[in-house]
Amino acid sequence: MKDFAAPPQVDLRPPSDVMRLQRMGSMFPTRLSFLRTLMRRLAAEKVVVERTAWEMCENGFGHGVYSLSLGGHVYSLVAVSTDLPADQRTDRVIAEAWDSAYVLYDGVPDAAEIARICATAPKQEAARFTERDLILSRANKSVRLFNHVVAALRRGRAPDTDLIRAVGYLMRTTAVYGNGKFGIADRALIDTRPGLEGPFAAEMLTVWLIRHFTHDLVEHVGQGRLAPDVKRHLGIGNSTGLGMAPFLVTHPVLLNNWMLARETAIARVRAIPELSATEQARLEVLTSRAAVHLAQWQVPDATHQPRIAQLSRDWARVSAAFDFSGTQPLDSVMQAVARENFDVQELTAAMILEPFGALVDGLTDCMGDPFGPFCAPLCDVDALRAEIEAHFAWALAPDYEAPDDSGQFWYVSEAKQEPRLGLRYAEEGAHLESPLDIGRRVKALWQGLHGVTGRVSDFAAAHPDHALAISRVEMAARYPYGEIRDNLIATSCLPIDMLRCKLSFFGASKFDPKSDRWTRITLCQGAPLADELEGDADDWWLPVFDA
Amino acid sequence: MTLATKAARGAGAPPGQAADFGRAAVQYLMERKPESALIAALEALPAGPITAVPVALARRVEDPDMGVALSDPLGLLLSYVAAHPLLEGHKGDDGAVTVDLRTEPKTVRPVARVEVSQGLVDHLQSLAAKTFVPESAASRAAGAGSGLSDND
Repeated sequence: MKDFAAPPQVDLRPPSDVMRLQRMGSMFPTRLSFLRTLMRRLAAEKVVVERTAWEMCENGFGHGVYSLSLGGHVYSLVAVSTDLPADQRTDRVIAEAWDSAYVLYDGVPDAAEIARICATAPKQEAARFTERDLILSRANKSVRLFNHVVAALRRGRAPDTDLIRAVGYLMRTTAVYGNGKFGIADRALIDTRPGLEGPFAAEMLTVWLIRHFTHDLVEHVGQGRLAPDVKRHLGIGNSTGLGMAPFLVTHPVLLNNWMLARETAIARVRAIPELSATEQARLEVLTSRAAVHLAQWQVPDATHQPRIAQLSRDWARVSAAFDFSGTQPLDSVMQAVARENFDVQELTAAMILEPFGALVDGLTDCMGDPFGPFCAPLCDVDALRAEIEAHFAWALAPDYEAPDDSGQFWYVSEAKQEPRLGLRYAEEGAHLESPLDIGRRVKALWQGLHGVTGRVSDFAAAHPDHALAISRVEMAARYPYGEIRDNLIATSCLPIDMLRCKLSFFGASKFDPKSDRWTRITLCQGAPLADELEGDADDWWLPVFDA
Repeated sequence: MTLATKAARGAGAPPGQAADFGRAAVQYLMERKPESALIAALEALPAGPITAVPVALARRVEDPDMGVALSDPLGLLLSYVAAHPLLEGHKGDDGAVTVDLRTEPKTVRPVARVEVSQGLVDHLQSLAAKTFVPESAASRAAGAGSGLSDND
């Protein structure tokens, strides 16, 4: 067996810099994002999407089925469109009805299976599903845009481009469930299948097919066809709230692997000694595209829009000084923007990866977690104490007795069994707090180790409440990017930063925060359409709408 | 997080031990072993295997030469071992379980479906429900999602 030397790389940006919420909340999608990875795979296999069923009334209610073959397996999206009264339309997880419901099915569903899914999918969490159901989702219309496009098509006209650009999607998902929820298939049943090995690959496939369905639906109801560039800009919106936030805390190995792959990619491109004229020109194009994307990224939020506008101004200023010639130009660029705010830094970090797929795309193979956490045990408490002091200084700094450092608590709501974030000193329920307070737990462990010697197992036996903290400390050496190095119960903790981090790994763009704990995003905007997979299916980072 | 993990939390297990139990419970049910052991383990809290087994396995991992067989009165230990990426275990004729360290991690593969009695599901859900926080006016105002009207 040949030994393959790893490509040269500069030092990784350390976890102490990278794993801070404010920086994580500034992340942008990259070519390593899960949706990009999936699209490259679909294109490589020249996947063909076939619409195998279309039972829709003229107003667009009924069902459709799309099938494709990927990695030797056939998958089908069963899409159910329902006539939803306007007063029942809400994106909140407490909703009980939606405009549309979906199942990604393992294989081609026969009539009985289609009927089963049409009956159960609209009920979502209230129904129970089978191991042939891989993903469960639902979506609501962007009523204003959907109705506008229908009306335009019926008049034989193109829809308003400003509205297309402003909204960017015909429907938005409000949940995309996988991995055994409500009886659907456990992820481990499909995660070795070619094409679905990557994190959330099945979910991304589902979202891409849902986008395809929304195009078909609006064309059906509107009795007309949309131009390809319009359809390409119509992605799938998504409303993401607190439900997604705890994942980053409860899956430290995955978080580590995602971050480590991204940081390694950045370190590799920074080590490139010089760029070809083609690569330099490509980066110039991407720099300009990013500027246009920022200008087209308009949100109503009074806090976030000024931030985007500031980034736009900063980008114009710093990118004017980008010099992609010379020695290790990308390292020079990253060093130059290190003086800028996190938004500029992370936008630059995402951009410099784009031209170098051959160098970095293989890292996506390392973004899963096939084994779960495992690490060398720390045999004595001296070693445990040393690890805390080496990796968890961020956890030792806060005073968790102080109101500001303990002002919030994570919990699971009785109403919907979903994560929530409460105000510790203003709401009931802190005694049922979810164990996401890793920093506080590690500090408590560290304080509990004072004056203690001997084996960790003996300490753990005597102090069972410290088991979670012990496991997190033991994991830190092996998974250095596995911990969010911020106090997640501080009054200042903004869950939106956690959401943006995870969503950027999904491949989301156009973050549109509605508060500090939920955001709209757009997925698949700019992604190839189903009939475009044989072309260049990978050049849609930070898409712009030129019409 | 599995239902068993949430149930263990609701029954009073600390979070680390609850997570270990959740993973072990999946393995246990995949092997179609009697559900009574899971219920007994939850009822034994704060004592019993949910707190004792992780310590026993930690001691085993700390001392590779330990080589002792561990008792397994409820039959859960092998499931904990099966859920651990670095451990292998086998049961002797005397019922004691010998746990060995692997040199490489193993992957844990589930089966498609496991038949679980409704009684067990109900029991686990009732315990898990003890960890849920009821809504209040304050929590509704500062909840997770959007306002009631968020159409665009």
